[in-house]
Amino acid sequence: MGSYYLPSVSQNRCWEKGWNVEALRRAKAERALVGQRGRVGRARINWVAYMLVAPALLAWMLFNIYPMVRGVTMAFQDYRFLYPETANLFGSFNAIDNFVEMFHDRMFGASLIVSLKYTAMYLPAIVILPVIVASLIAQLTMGRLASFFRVVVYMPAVVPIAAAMLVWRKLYDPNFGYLNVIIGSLLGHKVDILWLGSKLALSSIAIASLWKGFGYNTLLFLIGIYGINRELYDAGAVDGCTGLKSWWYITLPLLKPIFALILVLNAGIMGVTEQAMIMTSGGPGDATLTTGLYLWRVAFQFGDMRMGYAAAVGLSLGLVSAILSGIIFRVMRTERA
Amino acid sequence: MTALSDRPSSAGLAWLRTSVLKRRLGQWLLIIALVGVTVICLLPIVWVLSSSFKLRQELYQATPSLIVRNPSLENYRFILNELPEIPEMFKNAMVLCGMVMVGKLVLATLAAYPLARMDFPGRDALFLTFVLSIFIPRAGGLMATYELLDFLHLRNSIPGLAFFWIGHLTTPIFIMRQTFRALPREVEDAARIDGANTLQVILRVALPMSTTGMVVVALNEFVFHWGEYLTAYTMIDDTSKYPIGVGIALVRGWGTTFTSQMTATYGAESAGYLLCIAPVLIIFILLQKWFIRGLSEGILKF
Repeated sequence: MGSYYLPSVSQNRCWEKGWNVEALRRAKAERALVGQRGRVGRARINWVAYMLVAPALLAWMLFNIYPMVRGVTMAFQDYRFLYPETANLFGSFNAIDNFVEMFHDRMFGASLIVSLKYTAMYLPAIVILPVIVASLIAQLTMGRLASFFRVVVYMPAVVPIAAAMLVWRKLYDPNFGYLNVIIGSLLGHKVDILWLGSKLALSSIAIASLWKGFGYNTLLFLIGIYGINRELYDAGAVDGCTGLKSWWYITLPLLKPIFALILVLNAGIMGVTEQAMIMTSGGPGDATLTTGLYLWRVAFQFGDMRMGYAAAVGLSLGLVSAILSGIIFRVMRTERA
Repeated sequence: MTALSDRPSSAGLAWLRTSVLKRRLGQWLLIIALVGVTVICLLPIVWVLSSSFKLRQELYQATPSLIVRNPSLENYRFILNELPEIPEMFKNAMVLCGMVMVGKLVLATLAAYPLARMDFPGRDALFLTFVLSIFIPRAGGLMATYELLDFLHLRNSIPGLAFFWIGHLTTPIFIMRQTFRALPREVEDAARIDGANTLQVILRVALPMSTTGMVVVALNEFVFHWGEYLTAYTMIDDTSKYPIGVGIALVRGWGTTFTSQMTATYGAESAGYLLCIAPVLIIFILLQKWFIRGLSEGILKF
């Protein structure tokens, strides 16, 4: 299509003189802009490019990178927001006192166990459920139906988290909630499950989060499955690899990058905050007080807003998820090789 | 295959028929399983929808049903008339989403073009840092952000929150860069030869051909910021400044103090939830293919 876009001014005259229009154009364009097609020698300092990137870079550094770095230094301060003498950038450093305190902090320990329990329930489900649903949708031969299910499955993902959690809290309501009614009518007798009682509250939060979260992952898997070369299945079928076998031996191994991506995106799950905050505010008792919620309260609700200590808790959580991501990447890479 | 051989035997035909039948049966089983998934996905939304049209006597029945016998708009009237904060919060959310969308589109477009098309020292390193930063957990980020926004006097204000979010540019830059790279280079070169400068090339040539990327970015930002909770809740103190995605949690508190005889807490709450969900849900249903595109062009290419 290239030649249609030639500048009309010079085209005719070049033709008369027998110049290679294409080459001329390319040379000119090359001079105007050394591009991605390959560097000739060292790239030149291109001030225009820097000026275009600068605003985005500044905003990104200020609001994205700086808080990240500052969060780390804050973890080594006795930073209490309501005490101006401690709430500054450079003072009130207390080395590793915050981390030492964490070991003696009963509530932190309890919240860590809650978070671990939540992770153990949520993380496997948010990976396994989507890959199954995605495989089912991918098997549909009717395109319209497949796109209908794609839309339906993704729908909960766009619902605002607060609304989603509040709606589920209504569903869980022991007196007027719909969930007990449905289960009761399925079982044939009235049931009184205390969904948000101290025993089930955490799993109830996990179920609601699962409802909201699984559509996104399903679509990621689905895109991955659609991207698999059909010929692989034909080749497999020749070797007697069909049905469930082909799913296990062909589909799943080829989805490994997406498994890795989803696990990494969910590595922060230990810090789960909003869900517990909205649905149960940590209750009943401290049954759903996750570490994320605990650190939020330390920083923004309790007494003198101890952000330093909260940052230390956050940093420890962050380290855990960073190590998790690292392990996932390592495992996935060695298995792919 | 056997049916195509020189002598179509009846046994072969029978086999073919059963295999077709089997496949049909398989499809029907699939559809049944997926309908189950659909019910789970839609039930909460449908239930809120039906509750929002119910009045007191129907809401507090021993066996509530999804079908409304006497639909009424009383709950909506209540929530819109008696709770003036709700429209206010809608406005806040609109302002927040609008500012973030525009800000991110402008900054990301300007930055993505050089990253896609120009050559300068540090380009690849810069892009890589942009992308990798998304995978680093924001450990003490919320506390540090609180301090930063407080220092800049941007805390407790919707525009301030918007400025903060505009700095989160990784995905927009990534998608816009992909979009620019997919454009035919010749057009831009031609514009250059005609004497256009870089900014003109971006605005007059590259952008009009990149609407897909911009729509994807805008939609994803809208949905995310309409529903974002934790940061907005932390940074904003005044309930009148809450965007709807945060303020919706307050409906419960108000619901218990209402005076209208006809409404029930329950119905009014449901109506509120539905009002909060409706904009994103409608946009999603109308423009669903763009969301899927956003996924396949965004995060999956990282």
